[in-house]
Amino acid sequence: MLNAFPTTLVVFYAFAALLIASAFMVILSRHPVQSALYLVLAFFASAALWIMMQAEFLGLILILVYVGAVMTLFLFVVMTIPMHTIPIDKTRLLYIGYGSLVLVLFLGVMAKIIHPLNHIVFQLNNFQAPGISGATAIGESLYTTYVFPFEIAGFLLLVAIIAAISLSWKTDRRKIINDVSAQVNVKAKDRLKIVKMKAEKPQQDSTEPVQHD
Amino acid sequence: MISLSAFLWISSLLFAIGIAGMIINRHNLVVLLMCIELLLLSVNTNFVAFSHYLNNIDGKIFVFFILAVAAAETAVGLAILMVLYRQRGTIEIDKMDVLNG
Amino acid sequence: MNIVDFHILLPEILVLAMAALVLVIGLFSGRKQSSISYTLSQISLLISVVFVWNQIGMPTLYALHNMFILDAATTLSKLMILICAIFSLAYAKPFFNENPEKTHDYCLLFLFSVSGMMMLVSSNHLIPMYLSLELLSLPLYALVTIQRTGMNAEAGMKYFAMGAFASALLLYGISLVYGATASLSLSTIANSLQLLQTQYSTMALIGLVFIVAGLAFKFGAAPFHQWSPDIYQGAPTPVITLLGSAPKIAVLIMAIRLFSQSFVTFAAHWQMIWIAVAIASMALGNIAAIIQNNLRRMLAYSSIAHMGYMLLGFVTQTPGGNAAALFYVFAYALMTLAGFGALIVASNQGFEVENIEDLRGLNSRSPWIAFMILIVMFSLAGIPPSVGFFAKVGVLEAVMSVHMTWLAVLALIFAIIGCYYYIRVVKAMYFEPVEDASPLYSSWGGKVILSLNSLIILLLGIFPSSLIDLCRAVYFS
Repeated sequence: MLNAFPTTLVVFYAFAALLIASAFMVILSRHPVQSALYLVLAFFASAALWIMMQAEFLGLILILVYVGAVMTLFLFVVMTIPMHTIPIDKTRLLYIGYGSLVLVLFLGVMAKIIHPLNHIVFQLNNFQAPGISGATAIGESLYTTYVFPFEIAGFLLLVAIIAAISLSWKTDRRKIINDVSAQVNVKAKDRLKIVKMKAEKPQQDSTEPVQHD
Repeated sequence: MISLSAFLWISSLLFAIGIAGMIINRHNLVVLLMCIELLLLSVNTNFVAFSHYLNNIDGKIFVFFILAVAAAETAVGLAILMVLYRQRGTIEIDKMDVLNG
Repeated sequence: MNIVDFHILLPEILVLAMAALVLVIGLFSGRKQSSISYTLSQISLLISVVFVWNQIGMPTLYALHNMFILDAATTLSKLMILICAIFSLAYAKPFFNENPEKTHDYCLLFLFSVSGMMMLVSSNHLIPMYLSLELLSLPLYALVTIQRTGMNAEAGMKYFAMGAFASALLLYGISLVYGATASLSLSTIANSLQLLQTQYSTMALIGLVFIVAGLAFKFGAAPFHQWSPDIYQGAPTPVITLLGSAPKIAVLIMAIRLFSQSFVTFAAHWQMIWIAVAIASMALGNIAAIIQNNLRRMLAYSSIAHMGYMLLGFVTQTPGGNAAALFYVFAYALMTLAGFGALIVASNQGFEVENIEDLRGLNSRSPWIAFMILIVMFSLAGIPPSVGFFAKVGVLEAVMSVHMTWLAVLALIFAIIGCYYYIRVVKAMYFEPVEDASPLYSSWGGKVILSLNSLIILLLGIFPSSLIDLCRAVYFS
């Protein structure tokens, strides 16, 4: 029976497993390049999960912004800075122990929240009314109700540009800069200094030609 | 069908992995920044799941803004990281001890 | 947006528009005219003060789909934030003279950060609240690193990692609260929390814990303080005058709005957590400050302790307590400005005040600066008649009024322990011999600003009632 086959469930669990596995690999990989690539995989998997929850616009944005821009930035930095593989020694194993302890503790706390909600089940494919896509819905409220945060977000991105430029602008590089305003504003007296002095007669001794034998 | 709690488990597992990663990794600041990305991914998954379950658009809008802010934050963080690398020649967390914390 | 909204938003719009203007002018003016962006920034802050001043006495108004709120608390705190910003920018003048190429970037990032604080104070919805918190912090991360030395970069990286982690915690908490209440607007959250089904109450509660942790990070309170002394030590001093003062005012207003308006149903729970944070901060800050020899680290631990005292007023959950916390944070902002301002004024070419020994015999070298530092230290210690004394009394009074005598006694004990290290600075200045008795060279401008700042502290100490009345009027309406 093809109809009984739980396609949605299988797809869901496949992507969920992929997401968790790649997230683990991000923190356990021994080289940052591997971590970055596993993070890309994690973003892809969670984009798939979001799309299953009808956040298709956000899922695509996640791929475009994160995989397309943020992770590229990460890879640039990882490639610029020489990095070596992390050795597995006692301290690393110790920290892995601490880390897993925190992980278990955190999940124990979360179990307390999630357990009472176990009975809540939702349909993954109850599509919205035809004609209204997720992008339209988000766009409509973004430009009306949420115009204030939208403006702040605009300024945030501007601040990020300014901050990144002012931090990475190299002023110590030896290069020739043409300061146009200085060139235009220059006056003759800045360039040429006319010093008034009395005419001097050339002294006999100093101007004597050097004798070559 | 899939329950809300399945999504909540995924997101809390992601958050826990992010925090554990910040503890485990003492060698590289770039991986620390990646762990922060994992934390934000977990938050976003939470918002998308709740938004879908509650049939309320607010959560999705918040995700949109978090994505924008996280991109801006990463840009600034990596710029600071590059300055640190140029000055010190290393980005190991354990070697950030000139200021004795 | 109609004309009424525009009127409400005028101070923020002005600061942001002027920031854009400074950006453009900074691009087209050469290095020699770097003071133009400084002047423009100061002018824009001053005009914004006038606009906020005109808003005093207005009824509570909402704008932009109820996301922006204007009430007595926002007006008063915006006024204080702007005053702190003006002082902080004035203290940065020697920095601009030494690094003219940094002036444009500094002023720009400074203005954006201040506008973030102003909008954080006015946010009535969790989305703008989060975004303005980020608009506040992002420029600060860059400002800490602005000189690009190794120390700067290390402090900046630590500040960034801490701040980003705090934001993630805060967001996780917000997401859980959203799941429980289906809302992100502060007033709606309050209503839905009252009608919460039991299966969701744990979720909202755990969300609350995450929000408290995130905000405690932003306050720099213990046990989330680890890197804050490093940041104070490594960042340029003018930047600390900003990041130590005004953001704390903004975050306190946000916390009061969030906790005593939205989470009032869970008051008994969050009170316990905040009391624990406050006790930990007071204990750790005061005890760790004793062993510090570096003045900046000492002031950093002192800031942790002061955040603890400020939280005491906030945890009482009474209008009087909130007013006391507000007065405390105003007083603390002025004191920390003067404290780090004094470090800037006392250090100059070749002589950097880093350790307590550097202040040795300051009285015989520059008696006026020594006297100003004396006022600040006495005020930080809470010795009467200084504004710090009245701030502490107000907070303790609020704690006593809700019958938490043990907490007040504990706070008093830590305050007495804390006196020691402030007195040590005074002792070094007045009673210790000095090798080099030449007077300090410091610019007139710096001296005037420092004197103004310290005299405000002294005046508020002698006549505290006007500011106390203003703070009480905010929460007793």
